[in-house]
Amino acid sequence: MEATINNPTVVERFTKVGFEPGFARYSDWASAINKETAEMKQIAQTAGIKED
Amino acid sequence: MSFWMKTTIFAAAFAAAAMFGGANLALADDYPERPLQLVVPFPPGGASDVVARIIGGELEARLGKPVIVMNRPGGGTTIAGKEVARAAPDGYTLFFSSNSTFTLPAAVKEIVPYDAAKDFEPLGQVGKITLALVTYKDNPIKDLAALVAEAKANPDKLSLASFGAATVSHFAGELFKSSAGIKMVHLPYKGSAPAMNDLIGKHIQYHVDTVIAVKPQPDAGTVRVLAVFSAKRTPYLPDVPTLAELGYSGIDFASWGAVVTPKGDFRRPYGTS
Repeated sequence: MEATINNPTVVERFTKVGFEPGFARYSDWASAINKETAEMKQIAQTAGIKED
Repeated sequence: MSFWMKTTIFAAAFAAAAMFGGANLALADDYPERPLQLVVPFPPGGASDVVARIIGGELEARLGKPVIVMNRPGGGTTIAGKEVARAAPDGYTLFFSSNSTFTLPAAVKEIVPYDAAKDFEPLGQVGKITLALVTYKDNPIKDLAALVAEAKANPDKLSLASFGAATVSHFAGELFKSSAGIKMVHLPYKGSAPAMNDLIGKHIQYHVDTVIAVKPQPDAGTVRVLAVFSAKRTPYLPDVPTLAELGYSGIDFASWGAVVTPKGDFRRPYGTS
């Protein structure tokens, strides 16, 4: 996947549509997801964000 | 089997293993032996769909088998998430999505039909789409400092739109309001285009959208971009300061995209280890 994303042709095509390419491997996906979810939950609770 | 065929198959398997991110990943020699599907939780034509098709095309060229982009919109991306989470972990189902699937639903929904932390195996984060805070062009409030001052003087009087409730646009706006200690009225829209149209028509005062949606507007002289939510300036709007530059150092928020597979051991279906 890293080689796919870093292919110059892919980078150029991403850039043209406004997507900023940047491959990053997850050392611990579960922890990263749980951490961001907790942060988003806090924002949601503070702001009263509810599902549409 | 000829030496040439063995070499070719080994090369394909090695490329696939490398592509799927791990030297420890031992797929079968004949992988892939059929088309792969790349699931996208949005309808065709949007930014995510376009990005997925770029990834799919490149994977197809590398793997030598078709990679079919499957659009599965609905449920705020959770329908696709559920489908992929329950798919066989055989290396033939890939999923391109964002925090809209992986973190935001669990922050706002009582029930999410998958556990993003447990049900997916990441192949990697592939990039992001920067978000921007915009206003209409001739708004007398010219910059972020003036906006914050005005909002503090008049709580809940200014409007801040998003392209949908509980989307990255909504979360980014709330993050900014919280950091600035201001209160503005949230106006959720059904998508970016109607929100941007109402901003240009001055029916709303402020809006958070992606640089993809925003970029054509300042070029056309219809809106002013006050700040971006990324830690560093975006190459798409190089003259626009970050919120961090303007004093809100804790803000670094974007719509990030990742490619994942259903959680599981690819090796098991092939009995190779």
